[in-house]
Amino acid sequence: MAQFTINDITLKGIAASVPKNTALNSDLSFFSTDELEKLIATLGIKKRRVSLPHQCATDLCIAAAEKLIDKLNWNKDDIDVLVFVSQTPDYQLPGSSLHIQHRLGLSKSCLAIDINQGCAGYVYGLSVISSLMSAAKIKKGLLLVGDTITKIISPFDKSILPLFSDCGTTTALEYDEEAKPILFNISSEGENYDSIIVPAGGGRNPITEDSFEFKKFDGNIERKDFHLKLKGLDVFNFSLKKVVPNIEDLIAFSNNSKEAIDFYVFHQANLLIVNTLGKKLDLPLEKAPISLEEYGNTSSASIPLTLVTNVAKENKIINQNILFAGFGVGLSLGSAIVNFNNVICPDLIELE
Amino acid sequence: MRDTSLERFLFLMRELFKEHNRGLINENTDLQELEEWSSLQIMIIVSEIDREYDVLISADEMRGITTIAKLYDLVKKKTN
Repeated sequence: MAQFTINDITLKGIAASVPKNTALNSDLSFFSTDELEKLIATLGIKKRRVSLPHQCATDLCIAAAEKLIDKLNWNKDDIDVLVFVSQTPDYQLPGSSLHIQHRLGLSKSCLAIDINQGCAGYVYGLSVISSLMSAAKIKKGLLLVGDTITKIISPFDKSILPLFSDCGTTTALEYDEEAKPILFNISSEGENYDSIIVPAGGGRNPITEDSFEFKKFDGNIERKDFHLKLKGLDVFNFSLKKVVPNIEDLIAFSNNSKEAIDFYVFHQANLLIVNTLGKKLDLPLEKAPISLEEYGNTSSASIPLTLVTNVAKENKIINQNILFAGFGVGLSLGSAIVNFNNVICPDLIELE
Repeated sequence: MRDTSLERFLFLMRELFKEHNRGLINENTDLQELEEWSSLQIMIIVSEIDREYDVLISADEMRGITTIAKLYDLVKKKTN
Protein backbone atom coordinates (compact mmCIF):
# COMPACT_ATOMS: atom_id res chain seq x y z
CA MET A 1 0.00 0.00 0.00
CA ALA A 2 2.56 2.53 -1.04
CA GLN A 3 0.09 5.05 -2.36
CA PHE A 4 -3.00 6.22 -0.53
CA THR A 5 -5.44 9.10 -0.16
CA ILE A 6 -6.65 10.75 3.04
CA ASN A 7 -9.86 12.76 2.87
CA ASP A 8 -11.43 15.51 4.98
CA ILE A 9 -8.25 16.94 6.50
CA THR A 10 -6.95 20.45 5.90
CA LEU A 11 -3.82 22.26 7.05
CA LYS A 12 -4.56 25.44 9.00
CA GLY A 13 -1.13 26.66 10.02
CA ILE A 14 2.62 25.98 10.21
CA ALA A 15 5.10 27.58 12.60
CA ALA A 16 8.83 26.99 13.00
CA SER A 17 11.35 27.83 15.65
CA VAL A 18 15.17 27.74 15.59
CA PRO A 19 17.82 28.42 18.22
CA LYS A 20 19.12 31.98 17.99
CA ASN A 21 22.64 30.63 18.44
CA THR A 22 24.26 30.51 14.98
CA ALA A 23 27.43 28.80 13.75
CA LEU A 24 29.16 29.74 10.49
CA ASN A 25 30.58 27.07 8.22
CA SER A 26 33.28 29.55 7.19
CA ASP A 27 34.62 29.28 10.77
CA LEU A 28 35.23 25.50 10.59
CA SER A 29 38.89 24.92 11.35
CA PHE A 30 39.07 21.44 9.77
CA PHE A 31 39.27 22.94 6.29
CA SER A 32 41.59 25.15 4.23
CA THR A 33 40.14 28.30 2.61
CA ASP A 34 39.97 26.50 -0.74
CA GLU A 35 38.19 23.50 0.77
CA LEU A 36 35.73 25.73 2.60
CA GLU A 37 34.83 27.57 -0.56
CA LYS A 38 34.03 24.32 -2.33
CA LEU A 39 32.22 22.86 0.68
CA ILE A 40 29.94 25.87 1.13
CA ALA A 41 29.20 26.10 -2.61
CA THR A 42 28.41 22.36 -2.88
CA LEU A 43 26.37 21.97 0.31
CA GLY A 44 24.81 25.42 -0.05
CA ILE A 45 25.05 25.87 3.71
CA LYS A 46 26.56 29.06 5.18
CA LYS A 47 24.96 29.13 8.61
CA ARG A 48 23.70 26.56 11.06
CA ARG A 49 21.48 26.97 14.10
CA VAL A 50 22.98 25.12 17.05
CA SER A 51 20.82 24.49 20.10
CA LEU A 52 22.19 25.51 23.49
CA PRO A 53 22.34 22.79 26.19
CA HIS A 54 18.96 23.82 27.62
CA GLN A 55 17.20 23.75 24.20
CA CYS A 56 15.73 20.39 23.14
CA ALA A 57 13.66 19.53 20.07
CA THR A 58 10.55 19.58 22.30
CA ASP A 59 11.32 23.16 23.41
CA LEU A 60 11.63 24.35 19.81
CA CYS A 61 8.41 22.55 18.80
CA ILE A 62 6.50 23.86 21.83
CA ALA A 63 7.52 27.47 21.09
CA ALA A 64 6.20 26.99 17.55
CA ALA A 65 2.98 25.37 18.85
CA GLU A 66 2.24 28.14 21.35
CA LYS A 67 2.64 30.82 18.70
CA LEU A 68 0.52 28.94 16.18
CA ILE A 69 -2.30 28.19 18.64
CA ASP A 70 -2.32 31.89 19.52
CA LYS A 71 -2.38 33.07 15.87
CA LEU A 72 -5.13 30.59 14.99
CA ASN A 73 -7.04 31.58 18.10
CA TRP A 74 -7.58 27.91 18.93
CA ASN A 75 -8.96 26.71 22.23
CA LYS A 76 -6.44 24.19 23.61
CA ASP A 77 -9.25 21.99 24.93
CA ASP A 78 -10.34 21.32 21.34
CA ILE A 79 -7.03 19.68 20.39
CA ASP A 80 -7.64 15.93 20.55
CA VAL A 81 -4.49 14.51 18.96
CA LEU A 82 -0.81 15.37 19.14
CA VAL A 83 1.91 13.60 17.15
CA PHE A 84 5.58 14.32 17.88
CA VAL A 85 8.11 13.23 15.26
CA SER A 86 11.78 13.30 16.24
CA GLN A 87 14.96 11.32 16.62
CA THR A 88 16.20 13.51 19.40
CA PRO A 89 13.50 13.16 22.08
CA ASP A 90 14.00 14.35 25.66
CA TYR A 91 14.39 10.87 27.15
CA GLN A 92 14.85 7.24 26.11
CA LEU A 93 11.47 6.86 27.78
CA PRO A 94 8.78 8.12 28.30
CA GLY A 95 7.82 9.32 24.85
CA SER A 96 8.10 13.11 24.64
CA SER A 97 4.58 13.59 23.27
CA LEU A 98 3.08 12.87 26.70
CA HIS A 99 5.16 15.52 28.43
CA ILE A 100 4.38 17.92 25.55
CA GLN A 101 0.63 17.34 26.16
CA HIS A 102 1.16 18.53 29.72
CA ARG A 103 3.56 21.36 28.91
CA LEU A 104 1.23 22.76 26.25
CA GLY A 105 -1.70 22.50 28.65
CA LEU A 106 -3.69 20.22 26.36
CA SER A 107 -6.60 18.19 27.61
CA LYS A 108 -5.98 14.77 29.22
CA SER A 109 -8.27 13.27 26.61
CA CYS A 110 -5.79 14.27 23.89
CA LEU A 111 -4.18 11.26 22.20
CA ALA A 112 -0.38 11.74 22.21
CA ILE A 113 2.03 9.65 20.11
CA ASP A 114 5.79 9.68 19.39
CA ILE A 115 7.19 8.67 16.00
CA ASN A 116 10.89 7.93 15.55
CA GLN A 117 11.56 9.35 12.09
CA GLY A 118 13.98 11.82 10.55
CA CYS A 119 14.40 13.27 7.09
CA ALA A 120 11.16 11.68 5.82
CA GLY A 121 9.48 12.37 9.16
CA TYR A 122 7.26 15.24 8.10
CA VAL A 123 5.59 13.10 5.44
CA TYR A 124 5.35 10.07 7.77
CA GLY A 125 3.95 12.20 10.60
CA LEU A 126 1.45 13.88 8.31
CA SER A 127 0.26 10.50 7.04
CA VAL A 128 -0.30 9.21 10.60
CA ILE A 129 -2.04 12.27 12.04
CA SER A 130 -4.24 12.86 9.00
CA SER A 131 -5.27 9.17 8.88
CA LEU A 132 -6.20 9.19 12.56
CA MET A 133 -8.11 12.44 12.30
CA SER A 134 -9.92 11.37 9.16
CA ALA A 135 -10.89 7.94 10.51
CA ALA A 136 -12.03 9.15 13.93
CA LYS A 137 -13.36 12.53 12.73
CA ILE A 138 -11.09 14.35 15.16
CA LYS A 139 -11.69 18.10 14.84
CA LYS A 140 -8.27 19.53 15.64
CA GLY A 141 -4.76 18.10 15.81
CA LEU A 142 -1.14 19.19 16.13
CA LEU A 143 1.84 17.65 14.35
CA LEU A 144 5.10 18.60 16.06
CA VAL A 145 8.18 17.77 14.01
CA GLY A 146 11.72 18.69 14.93
CA ASP A 147 15.23 17.64 15.78
CA THR A 148 18.35 18.83 17.52
CA ILE A 149 20.79 16.67 15.57
CA THR A 150 23.71 18.95 16.51
CA LYS A 151 23.53 17.41 19.99
CA ILE A 152 24.42 13.93 18.70
CA ILE A 153 27.26 14.80 16.30
CA SER A 154 30.91 14.34 17.14
CA PRO A 155 32.79 17.65 17.26
CA PHE A 156 35.57 15.79 15.37
CA ASP A 157 33.46 14.53 12.47
CA LYS A 158 34.11 16.94 9.65
CA SER A 159 32.08 14.79 7.26
CA ILE A 160 28.77 15.69 8.93
CA LEU A 161 29.37 18.67 11.20
CA PRO A 162 28.93 21.22 8.34
CA LEU A 163 25.50 19.82 7.43
CA PHE A 164 23.18 19.70 10.40
CA SER A 165 21.24 22.42 12.11
CA ASP A 166 18.40 22.46 14.67
CA CYS A 167 14.74 23.36 14.30
CA GLY A 168 11.30 22.53 15.71
CA THR A 169 7.99 23.00 13.92
CA THR A 170 4.26 22.66 14.51
CA THR A 171 1.57 22.08 11.92
CA ALA A 172 -2.10 22.56 12.83
CA LEU A 173 -4.68 20.35 11.12
CA GLU A 174 -8.45 20.40 11.10
CA TYR A 175 -11.23 18.04 10.08
CA ASP A 176 -13.07 19.61 7.14
CA GLU A 177 -15.33 17.73 4.77
CA GLU A 178 -14.67 20.36 2.09
CA ALA A 179 -10.92 19.70 2.14
CA LYS A 180 -9.20 18.37 -0.95
CA PRO A 181 -7.65 14.91 -0.45
CA ILE A 182 -4.06 14.54 0.70
CA LEU A 183 -2.11 12.02 -1.37
CA PHE A 184 0.81 9.98 -0.12
CA ASN A 185 3.47 7.70 -1.53
CA ILE A 186 5.61 6.16 1.19
CA SER A 187 8.23 3.45 1.04
CA SER A 188 10.54 1.64 3.43
CA GLU A 189 14.12 0.73 2.55
CA GLY A 190 15.06 -1.02 5.77
CA GLU A 191 17.87 -3.11 4.28
CA ASN A 192 19.99 0.04 4.53
CA TYR A 193 19.13 0.63 8.20
CA ASP A 194 22.77 1.31 9.05
CA SER A 195 23.43 3.99 6.40
CA ILE A 196 22.42 6.61 8.97
CA ILE A 197 22.66 5.31 12.52
CA VAL A 198 23.53 6.05 16.13
CA PRO A 199 24.97 2.61 16.92
CA ALA A 200 25.01 2.65 20.73
CA GLY A 201 22.50 3.52 23.41
CA GLY A 202 19.61 1.24 22.43
CA GLY A 203 18.97 -2.40 23.27
CA ARG A 204 21.27 -3.75 20.54
CA ASN A 205 24.42 -2.00 21.76
CA PRO A 206 23.84 -0.73 25.29
CA ILE A 207 26.06 2.06 26.62
CA THR A 208 29.25 0.73 28.15
CA GLU A 209 32.47 2.42 29.21
CA ASP A 210 33.73 1.79 25.69
CA SER A 211 30.93 3.98 24.29
CA PHE A 212 32.69 7.03 25.77
CA GLU A 213 35.91 6.42 23.83
CA PHE A 214 36.58 8.42 20.68
CA LYS A 215 37.32 6.02 17.83
CA LYS A 216 39.29 6.90 14.70
CA PHE A 217 37.88 6.49 11.19
CA ASP A 218 39.12 7.21 7.66
CA GLY A 219 39.62 10.84 6.73
CA ASN A 220 40.74 12.03 10.18
CA ILE A 221 37.30 11.48 11.66
CA GLU A 222 36.79 10.67 15.32
CA ARG A 223 33.52 9.81 16.99
CA LYS A 224 31.99 7.83 19.84
CA ASP A 225 29.54 4.96 19.35
CA PHE A 226 26.63 7.09 20.50
CA HIS A 227 27.37 9.75 17.89
CA LEU A 228 25.57 9.93 14.56
CA LYS A 229 27.26 7.93 11.81
CA LEU A 230 26.37 8.61 8.19
CA LYS A 231 27.50 6.74 5.08
CA GLY A 232 27.44 9.85 2.94
CA LEU A 233 27.82 8.36 -0.53
CA ASP A 234 25.28 5.57 0.14
CA VAL A 235 22.70 8.11 1.23
CA PHE A 236 23.56 10.37 -1.69
CA ASN A 237 23.08 7.52 -4.17
CA PHE A 238 19.81 6.50 -2.49
CA SER A 239 18.52 10.08 -2.83
CA LEU A 240 19.51 10.31 -6.49
CA LYS A 241 18.07 6.91 -7.38
CA LYS A 242 14.83 6.60 -5.39
CA VAL A 243 13.30 10.03 -4.82
CA VAL A 244 12.39 11.00 -8.39
CA PRO A 245 10.57 7.71 -9.22
CA ASN A 246 8.68 8.01 -5.90
CA ILE A 247 7.53 11.53 -6.84
CA GLU A 248 6.65 10.55 -10.41
CA ASP A 249 4.54 7.65 -9.13
CA LEU A 250 2.70 9.98 -6.77
CA ILE A 251 1.99 12.48 -9.54
CA ALA A 252 0.69 9.67 -11.77
CA PHE A 253 -1.48 8.45 -8.86
CA SER A 254 -2.86 12.00 -8.43
CA ASN A 255 -3.99 12.14 -12.08
CA ASN A 256 -2.41 15.56 -12.21
CA SER A 257 0.37 16.90 -14.37
CA LYS A 258 3.78 17.85 -12.99
CA GLU A 259 2.94 21.43 -13.92
CA ALA A 260 -0.18 21.46 -11.72
CA ILE A 261 2.11 21.39 -8.67
CA ASP A 262 3.00 24.94 -7.59
CA PHE A 263 5.90 24.05 -5.28
CA TYR A 264 8.12 21.02 -4.77
CA VAL A 265 9.47 21.20 -1.25
CA PHE A 266 12.29 18.69 -0.89
CA HIS A 267 13.92 17.64 2.34
CA GLN A 268 16.84 20.06 2.51
CA ALA A 269 19.61 17.45 2.56
CA ASN A 270 22.21 19.59 0.83
CA LEU A 271 22.25 21.84 -2.24
CA LEU A 272 23.81 19.28 -4.58
CA ILE A 273 21.01 16.81 -3.82
CA VAL A 274 18.17 19.34 -3.96
CA ASN A 275 19.45 20.84 -7.21
CA THR A 276 19.98 17.41 -8.76
CA LEU A 277 16.40 16.36 -7.89
CA GLY A 278 15.09 19.62 -9.38
CA LYS A 279 17.05 19.01 -12.60
CA LYS A 280 15.95 15.38 -12.89
CA LEU A 281 12.33 16.52 -12.60
CA ASP A 282 13.04 19.41 -14.98
CA LEU A 283 11.64 21.96 -12.53
CA PRO A 284 12.06 25.71 -12.84
CA LEU A 285 14.22 26.96 -9.93
CA GLU A 286 11.40 28.98 -8.36
CA LYS A 287 9.30 25.82 -7.89
CA ALA A 288 11.90 24.14 -5.67
CA PRO A 289 12.56 26.50 -2.74
CA ILE A 290 15.83 26.22 -0.80
CA SER A 291 16.40 27.27 2.80
CA LEU A 292 19.83 25.65 3.19
CA GLU A 293 22.02 28.73 3.09
CA GLU A 294 20.61 30.18 6.31
CA TYR A 295 19.32 27.10 8.14
CA GLY A 296 21.29 24.03 6.92
CA ASN A 297 19.90 20.49 7.02
CA THR A 298 17.35 20.46 9.86
CA SER A 299 16.42 16.77 9.47
CA SER A 300 12.68 16.16 10.00
CA ALA A 301 11.95 19.91 10.27
CA SER A 302 13.37 20.95 6.91
CA ILE A 303 10.12 20.74 4.89
CA PRO A 304 7.87 22.76 7.24
CA LEU A 305 10.75 25.19 7.91
CA THR A 306 11.16 25.81 4.18
CA LEU A 307 7.39 26.35 3.83
CA VAL A 308 7.58 29.06 6.52
CA THR A 309 10.78 30.77 5.36
CA ASN A 310 10.59 30.40 1.56
CA VAL A 311 7.02 29.67 0.46
CA ALA A 312 4.75 31.75 2.72
CA LYS A 313 4.02 35.31 1.57
CA GLU A 314 2.82 37.82 4.16
CA ASN A 315 2.52 34.96 6.66
CA LYS A 316 0.14 32.94 4.50
CA ILE A 317 0.07 30.22 1.88
CA ILE A 318 -3.13 30.50 -0.12
CA ASN A 319 -4.49 28.21 -2.80
CA GLN A 320 -1.33 26.31 -3.72
CA ASN A 321 -0.76 22.67 -4.59
CA ILE A 322 2.41 21.65 -2.82
CA LEU A 323 4.38 18.43 -3.08
CA PHE A 324 6.69 17.42 -0.22
CA ALA A 325 9.42 14.82 -0.54
CA GLY A 326 11.31 13.51 2.48
CA PHE A 327 14.09 10.91 2.31
CA GLY A 328 16.84 9.62 4.57
CA VAL A 329 17.26 7.73 7.82
CA GLY A 330 15.65 4.29 7.87
CA LEU A 331 16.29 4.34 5.05
CA SER A 332 12.88 5.66 4.20
CA LEU A 333 11.22 7.97 1.78
CA GLY A 334 7.86 9.52 1.25
CA SER A 335 6.12 12.19 -0.76
CA ALA A 336 2.77 13.90 -0.35
CA ILE A 337 0.63 16.30 -2.34
CA VAL A 338 -1.29 18.75 -0.20
CA ASN A 339 -3.62 21.52 -1.26
CA PHE A 340 -2.89 24.60 0.84
CA ASN A 341 -6.22 26.38 0.94
CA ASN A 342 -5.47 29.06 3.52
CA VAL A 343 -2.53 28.23 5.77
CA ILE A 344 -1.26 30.70 8.38
CA CYS A 345 2.53 30.80 8.77
CA PRO A 346 3.71 33.10 11.57
CA ASP A 347 7.23 34.59 11.35
CA LEU A 348 10.07 32.24 12.21
CA ILE A 349 10.77 32.19 15.96
CA GLU A 350 14.35 32.52 17.22
CA LEU A 351 14.74 31.07 20.70
CA GLU A 352 17.32 32.63 23.06
CA MET B 1 24.33 9.49 -29.10
CA ARG B 2 26.05 9.88 -25.77
CA ASP B 3 29.76 10.67 -26.06
CA THR B 4 31.51 7.98 -24.02
CA SER B 5 35.03 8.85 -25.16
CA LEU B 6 37.90 9.07 -22.71
CA GLU B 7 38.55 12.66 -23.90
CA ARG B 8 35.07 13.76 -22.90
CA PHE B 9 35.39 11.96 -19.54
CA LEU B 10 38.72 13.65 -18.81
CA PHE B 11 37.28 17.03 -19.76
CA LEU B 12 34.32 16.53 -17.38
CA MET B 13 36.55 15.37 -14.54
CA ARG B 14 38.97 18.30 -14.93
CA GLU B 15 36.07 20.75 -14.68
CA LEU B 16 35.29 19.39 -11.20
CA PHE B 17 38.67 20.39 -9.83
CA LYS B 18 40.06 23.82 -9.10
CA GLU B 19 41.75 25.47 -12.05
CA HIS B 20 45.28 25.17 -10.66
CA ASN B 21 44.82 21.41 -10.21
CA ARG B 22 43.34 20.62 -13.62
CA GLY B 23 46.75 20.13 -15.24
CA LEU B 24 47.32 17.20 -12.87
CA ILE B 25 44.31 15.30 -14.19
CA ASN B 26 45.01 12.63 -16.81
CA GLU B 27 44.07 8.99 -17.14
CA ASN B 28 46.92 7.79 -14.94
CA THR B 29 46.24 10.23 -12.13
CA ASP B 30 45.84 8.49 -8.79
CA LEU B 31 42.72 10.20 -7.47
CA GLN B 32 43.50 9.49 -3.84
CA GLU B 33 46.83 11.29 -4.17
CA LEU B 34 45.13 14.54 -5.15
CA GLU B 35 45.07 17.31 -2.60
CA GLU B 36 41.41 17.99 -3.42
CA TRP B 37 40.35 14.36 -2.84
CA SER B 38 37.70 14.17 -0.11
CA SER B 39 34.30 12.63 0.60
CA LEU B 40 32.79 15.85 -0.75
CA GLN B 41 34.79 15.57 -3.98
CA ILE B 42 33.63 11.95 -4.38
CA MET B 43 30.01 13.11 -4.09
CA ILE B 44 30.64 15.81 -6.70
CA ILE B 45 32.18 13.27 -9.09
CA VAL B 46 29.42 10.70 -8.56
CA SER B 47 26.80 13.36 -9.21
CA GLU B 48 28.50 14.49 -12.43
CA ILE B 49 28.78 10.89 -13.69
CA ASP B 50 25.08 10.38 -12.91
CA ARG B 51 24.18 13.58 -14.80
CA GLU B 52 26.28 12.81 -17.86
CA TYR B 53 26.03 9.02 -18.13
CA ASP B 54 22.95 8.18 -16.03
CA VAL B 55 25.05 5.77 -13.99
CA LEU B 56 25.39 5.68 -10.21
CA ILE B 57 28.71 4.61 -8.68
CA SER B 58 28.25 3.04 -5.24
CA ALA B 59 30.45 3.60 -2.22
CA ASP B 60 31.78 0.03 -2.55
CA GLU B 61 32.68 0.54 -6.20
CA MET B 62 34.33 3.86 -5.43
CA ARG B 63 36.53 2.26 -2.77
CA GLY B 64 38.23 0.13 -5.42
CA ILE B 65 39.02 3.07 -7.69
CA THR B 66 42.57 4.37 -7.82
CA THR B 67 43.16 6.04 -11.19
CA ILE B 68 40.91 8.06 -13.48
CA ALA B 69 41.33 5.30 -16.11
CA LYS B 70 39.83 2.78 -13.67
CA LEU B 71 36.91 5.08 -12.95
CA TYR B 72 36.38 5.58 -16.68
CA ASP B 73 36.41 1.81 -17.27
CA LEU B 74 33.81 1.33 -14.55
CA VAL B 75 31.56 4.03 -16.03
CA LYS B 76 31.88 2.48 -19.50
CA LYS B 77 31.10 -0.97 -18.14
CA LYS B 78 28.02 0.34 -16.37
CA THR B 79 26.71 2.25 -19.38
CA ASN B 80 26.74 -0.89 -21.51
